[in-house]
Amino acid sequence: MRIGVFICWCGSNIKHTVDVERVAREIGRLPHVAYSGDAQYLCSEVGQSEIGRAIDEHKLDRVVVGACSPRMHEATFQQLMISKGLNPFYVEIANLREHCSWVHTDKEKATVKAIDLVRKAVAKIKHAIPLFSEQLGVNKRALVIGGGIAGIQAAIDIADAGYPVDLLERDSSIGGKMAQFDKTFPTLDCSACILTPKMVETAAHGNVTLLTSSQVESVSGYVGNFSVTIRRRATSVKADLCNGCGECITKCPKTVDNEFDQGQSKRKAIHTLFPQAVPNKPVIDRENCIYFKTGKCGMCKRVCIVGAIDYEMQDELLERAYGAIIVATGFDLSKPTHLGEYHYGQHPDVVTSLDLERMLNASGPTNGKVIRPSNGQEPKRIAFIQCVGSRDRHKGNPYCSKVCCLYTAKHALLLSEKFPDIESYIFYIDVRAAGKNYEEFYEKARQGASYLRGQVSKIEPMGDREKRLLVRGFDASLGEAIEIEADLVVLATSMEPKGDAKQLAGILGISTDQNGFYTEAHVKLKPFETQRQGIFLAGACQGPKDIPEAVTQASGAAAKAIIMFNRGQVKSVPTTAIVNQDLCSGCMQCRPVCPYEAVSSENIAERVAGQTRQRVVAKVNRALCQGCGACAGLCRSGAMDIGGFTSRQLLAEVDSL
Amino acid sequence: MRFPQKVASAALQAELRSITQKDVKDCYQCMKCSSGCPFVAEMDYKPHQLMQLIKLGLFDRVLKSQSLWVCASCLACSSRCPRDIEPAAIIEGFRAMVLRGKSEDKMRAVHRPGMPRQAIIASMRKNTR
Repeated sequence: MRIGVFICWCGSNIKHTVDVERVAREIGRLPHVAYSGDAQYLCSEVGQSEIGRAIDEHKLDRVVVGACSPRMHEATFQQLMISKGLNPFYVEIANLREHCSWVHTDKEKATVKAIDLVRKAVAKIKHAIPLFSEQLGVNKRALVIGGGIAGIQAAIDIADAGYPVDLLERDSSIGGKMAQFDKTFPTLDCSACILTPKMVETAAHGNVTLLTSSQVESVSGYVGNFSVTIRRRATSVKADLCNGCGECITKCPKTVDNEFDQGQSKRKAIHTLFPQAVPNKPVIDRENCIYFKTGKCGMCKRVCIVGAIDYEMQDELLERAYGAIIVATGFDLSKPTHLGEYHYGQHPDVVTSLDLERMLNASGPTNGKVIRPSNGQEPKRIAFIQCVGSRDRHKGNPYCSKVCCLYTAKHALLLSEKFPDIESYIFYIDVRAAGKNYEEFYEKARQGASYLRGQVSKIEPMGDREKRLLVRGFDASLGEAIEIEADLVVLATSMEPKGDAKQLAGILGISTDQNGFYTEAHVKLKPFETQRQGIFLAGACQGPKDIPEAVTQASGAAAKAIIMFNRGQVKSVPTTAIVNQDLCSGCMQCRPVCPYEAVSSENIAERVAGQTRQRVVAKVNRALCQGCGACAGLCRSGAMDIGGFTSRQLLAEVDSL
Repeated sequence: MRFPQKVASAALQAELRSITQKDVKDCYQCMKCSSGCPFVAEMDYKPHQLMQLIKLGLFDRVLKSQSLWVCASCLACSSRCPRDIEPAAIIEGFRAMVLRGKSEDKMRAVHRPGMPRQAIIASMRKNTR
């Protein structure tokens, strides 16, 4: 065994705190180390060729690099090993920059620690075993979960690249939250005018299959080869027969609150989500339908001339195979009933921004008029309250919901244009208008509204005839308490993960952050990927986002899926679990702890004392295994190892110290 | 302070705009005017507070403010205002409105012990025109 050791200066990053020459000198004395030297930048072309030359000259078969984090350049050095005909797992990196020079100031002590770190790496590489990736085939079909603007964009992009996509949506129509909006900042485009063409394009696209009223039940398999069970809820309307005439909706005798209008209008038990719904076929809401509750009525069935109503329709379970999954499940808005000081839910004239948004929408419950829900009159004075439940460690969410500053500016602007007599007061903590043309938009909004810096502490009913609300705030500029006798109060409520986001994360095998949003693989450099290969993220399910950002991420996630489909193959993770069949006792404790269902059992035959005996041992599916190490940590007979981190390697590291 | 308040009439707001050619609504309360003002300590309403009052339409308070007469028109605020509002010009506008007798307020020379001489002179000059 001939080990080569290379210590990197990283310019002055490492050299400033670590005596690199001394590290190289001392390590050079270790047994099996055939070469030890230092270089200015090992990651540079010069540095790389230096290592290459040393490998040739000194006939090195293993390499230890003392440089930065393996997260930065492990792939670079592994590539070099491959070009020299060596296994990429015959290189080991000691992280001298992040673990040593950046965190210490005492050069002597840092140098001693650096020597220890490199010695440890040398001990580990002695026991390294060669590892190989496998090429896995890819099923070139994608599943997009969530039919909001992010899901729609991702589906269109993948479909345009020529690959089939299934777009799954829980509601009866695609469109998502954006379909509820009136105008969009910062251009004041009508939301429907820019969204509905995309919805129609999706439905008409030859490569897109819409799966509305559907949910994901289970996911198994691995990158390139996922197998997904989808539940299609019974809509009680045969979509292939229905011609969308709407007679059933007109005649349905049962009315309930319309959730699309935030409960501000009524809909029928048989309904479409909104007039431009795609697909534009009604569905029966069985919880409210008289027929399903009492067995009587049947009005819709009687009036349907094409016989599309089917009360006997059952939920359908589909088994589909996909190569990639894009998660675009979006967000919920919090209902701030827990913040008692704002009187939400106790006074009808305290509404959320989305309630106001629906009012402003010309096709909304008030046909574009802004009214006080208590009496239907136009308000004279509106108080807007920002950061309701956002940036609130005490009773809300610690994060910023990001979009409220701008949509409130939009509301103020629309109100000042449409209803110049209404006074708008906006209480804010900060105004965050970071985005292209956002500051300019906020500037325009300030012309028509009074911005007051200070959070409202209390809203009290005034007890007067008009049932107005006294909003108690403070203006930091004047240093004075401000009270507004408001006719309407609008709360900018917090964006939250979907109520069942964690449950879906469990089904998909991806993780959520402390706030319940899905976690990307790397905050900066892998914003589309999840920790699970082949599953990508788009839109607000990953964190609060506005429409342009959601669309951007959707196209990015789609690109990742397309790249995979174009290649047609994916490399498996080489650092998977390895079973030592001689040691395995077949207890199979490793099977239940595996989060990826990669462990199964197999029968092996062995000759013991002249006889052939059958024995059960664990078996790892290398395509499924992600190398998490849960099984290796648990195995009591020490039969399970993780490639690249075998028990022998780890113990050798400990022993070297 | 409770809203609704008596706010300046549209005519009065138009008059201010015609005098100053500036729109105070552009102000985003960065307070740079107050942080650079050499007489901020002598003012009842600081320059940024005057701007905020004007934005809210509370002209009565501005017209009564002693700050109008403390301002030495040194133009430090105007030269540095990132919104190009020129607070000094706005203040000058209010002084003009007082001097034109559009307000019932009686102007009065400010003379308080310890006040910088320059401010007193500026104030006298404005008051004895």
